[in-house]
Amino acid sequence: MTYAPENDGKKSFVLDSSSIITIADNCFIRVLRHLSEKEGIEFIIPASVYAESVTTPLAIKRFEFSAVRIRDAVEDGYIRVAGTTPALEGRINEIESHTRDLCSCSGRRIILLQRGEIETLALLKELGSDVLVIDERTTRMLLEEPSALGNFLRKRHRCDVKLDRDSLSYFRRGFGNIKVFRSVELISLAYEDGSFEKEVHKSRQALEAALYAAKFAGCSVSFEEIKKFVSRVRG
Amino acid sequence: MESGTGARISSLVSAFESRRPQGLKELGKDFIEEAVVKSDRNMALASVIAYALYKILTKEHLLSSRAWPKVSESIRVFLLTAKDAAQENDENNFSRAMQNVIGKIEAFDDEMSNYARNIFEKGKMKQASVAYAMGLSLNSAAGLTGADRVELQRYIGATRIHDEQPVTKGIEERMRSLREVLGR
Repeated sequence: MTYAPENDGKKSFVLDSSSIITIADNCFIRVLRHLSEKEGIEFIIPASVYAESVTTPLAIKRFEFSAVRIRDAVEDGYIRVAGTTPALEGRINEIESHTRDLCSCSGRRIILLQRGEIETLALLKELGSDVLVIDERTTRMLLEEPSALGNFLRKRHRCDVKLDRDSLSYFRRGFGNIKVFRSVELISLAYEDGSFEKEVHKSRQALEAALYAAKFAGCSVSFEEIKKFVSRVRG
Repeated sequence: MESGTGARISSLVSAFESRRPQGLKELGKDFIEEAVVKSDRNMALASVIAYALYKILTKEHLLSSRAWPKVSESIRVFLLTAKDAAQENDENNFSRAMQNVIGKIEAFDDEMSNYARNIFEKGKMKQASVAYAMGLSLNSAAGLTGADRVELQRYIGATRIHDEQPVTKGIEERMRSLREVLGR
């Protein structure tokens, strides 16, 4: 099922599969509806994310319920699925080629990102959106702090890790202005604007529990971050 | 096929024959590290097999089962076939032999275990999480090892991988930016 993205004056937020899965796993999918209505956000996912988070898991009993929730959100229209167009394919190929050259370890290429993440980045560019919601760590680091990603890789590998300057420059030029958020920030926004209360009673404990649930579902957030943030929230 | 694959499988056979679970566990880690650097799916598969065999060798009820001696011998023979195929750079025979090893592990585990998720699937998760910890994205780590992408995300959520990096931009700072984006 694919819909062409529409934009009736709303701000486009592109979600990758990691964030949509965290949200659906924790029964917060309807919070996106409230956020969409209250904040004027259009949530968009690429077709491959729909396939990954709905089509495939619908056939796996263990994951079926989350997949049903996401499918319902798409059918209700508060998450839109962007179709794959030739222009998008072109963008995907371009990003893929820079990703291939991006990182090497003693002269051998390390393929850091794959199609799913690359398609999300391509969609961002194609829609002209500057907001990405992603719970996955490596893609986020590449967009926000490529030098920190280099340092991180050097610590983790026993070989000589190098990041290709041209590819880095490509990502800086193309994605340096992208604002990256995670499911934990959407949950926190929902807490602030009252969307959260439509699903759970509002309390600091509920917020803290929701943030930890997102972490345990795989959102790349640390215990320290959650603790620090919650300690400043008035409950 | 990457050079050195035969030697790696040979070390796997040796650890398996001498019943050294810790040796298999360490080989599994070495193999996945090598697989990440070389984007080598064969090495990733060898890593998952090493991990699955390590798990089997640590479970007394599996080792003392009547089926184990025969299964163990079959696994050993298929691993030796895989080693020979790798040394002859015969990708087809290598893949066939490795699939036979997996088939033996899965059938044995299926017969002996009460868990829904089998040892081989657990091995994929474990090794994919190591690949993620080394810097691959979720999709890349899942693609390399054959782990399910969605399940891998949940598995990683239960580890401390995301606590091992310094926080450069916390929730509060991102919230400020999010409010700006929305004009709040």
